[in-house]
Amino acid sequence: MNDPFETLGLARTFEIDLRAVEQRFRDLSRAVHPDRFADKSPAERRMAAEQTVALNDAFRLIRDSMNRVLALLAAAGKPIHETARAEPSLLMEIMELREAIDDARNDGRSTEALVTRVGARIADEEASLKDAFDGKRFPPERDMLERAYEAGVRLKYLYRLRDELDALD
Amino acid sequence: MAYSDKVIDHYENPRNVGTLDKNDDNVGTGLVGAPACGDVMRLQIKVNDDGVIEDAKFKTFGCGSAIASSSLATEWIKGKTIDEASEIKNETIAKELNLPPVKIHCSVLAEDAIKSAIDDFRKKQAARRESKT
Repeated sequence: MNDPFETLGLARTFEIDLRAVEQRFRDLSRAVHPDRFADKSPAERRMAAEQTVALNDAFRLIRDSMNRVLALLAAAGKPIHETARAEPSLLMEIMELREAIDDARNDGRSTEALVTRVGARIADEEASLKDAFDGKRFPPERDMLERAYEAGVRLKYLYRLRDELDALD
Repeated sequence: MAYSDKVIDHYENPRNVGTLDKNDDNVGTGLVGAPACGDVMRLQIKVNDDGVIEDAKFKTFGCGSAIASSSLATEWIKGKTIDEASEIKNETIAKELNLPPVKIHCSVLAEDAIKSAIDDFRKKQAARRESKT
C-alpha cells in the first residue's frame, strides 16, 4: 500500500478533518485532470492518468478509519503483516462477543448492549492511536508505537464487529 | 473472486460445527486468528486413550475460505492419531479446496489451529501426569 498521507501531502495523524482532506484531494485532482492534458504528449497523459488513480486510491484509504490506521502503522515502520497472529486473550474476547451476537440474532433479542460495549472498546483503542499519532512527532516513540500496533490489531477485529452489528439493525 | 465448488459446499454445509468441553482433560482447544483479515478460528479435538482423535469441532468467524479450511480440517483429523494430524500441511488443504493465492493464508490458519489444539491437549496431559507423580 502506498502511503496515502504522502500522496495527498498531509500530516500523518489518526484524527483527520475530512472536509479539509476532501478539499485537498479535489485541488490535487483538478491539477492532473485529463482535460488539462488533452493536447499533451502520450507520456504526459499517461502520467496524469496514473496520478489521478493514485489520488483516488489515497482518498479512499484515508477516509476509512481502519485503512488510516494501517497506513500510519506501515509508514511508522510497524505494519500489520498477513502472517501476524493475534493474542489468545484478544481472540477469546472476540469469540465471546461473536457468539453473543449470534445468540442475540438467533433469539431475536436486542443487540443494544453489545453495540454499546463494542463502541466503548473501540473508543479505548482509538485513544491509543490518538496518543501515538496526533502529537508532534512522527514516527512516535517506540513504546507508543507498540501500543498503537496492539490497538490497531484489536481495532481490526472490533471495527468488523461493529460493521456486523450495524448490518443487523 | 469466485469460490470453488468445494469451498461453497463446506461453507453451506459446514462439517462438525460446534463446541467440546474445553475443561475436559481429553479435549484440546486451538484458538487462532490473523489480524490482517480479522478472522477468528476455534478448533477442538477430543483424544481417546490410544491417542486417536475421536471427535473434532470448529467454530470460525471469517470468510468462506476460512470456514471451508477449518471444516475440512476437522473432517480430515477425525480418526487420525494426534501425530498423524500434526502432519497435515496447509498446502494440502489449499489444494483440496482450490484456494486462490490471496486465500492461502486461510489454510495456514487452519494448520495453525490443528497444531494449537494438539499443543493444548499435550500440555494438559503433561500437567495431569505431573500432578499424579
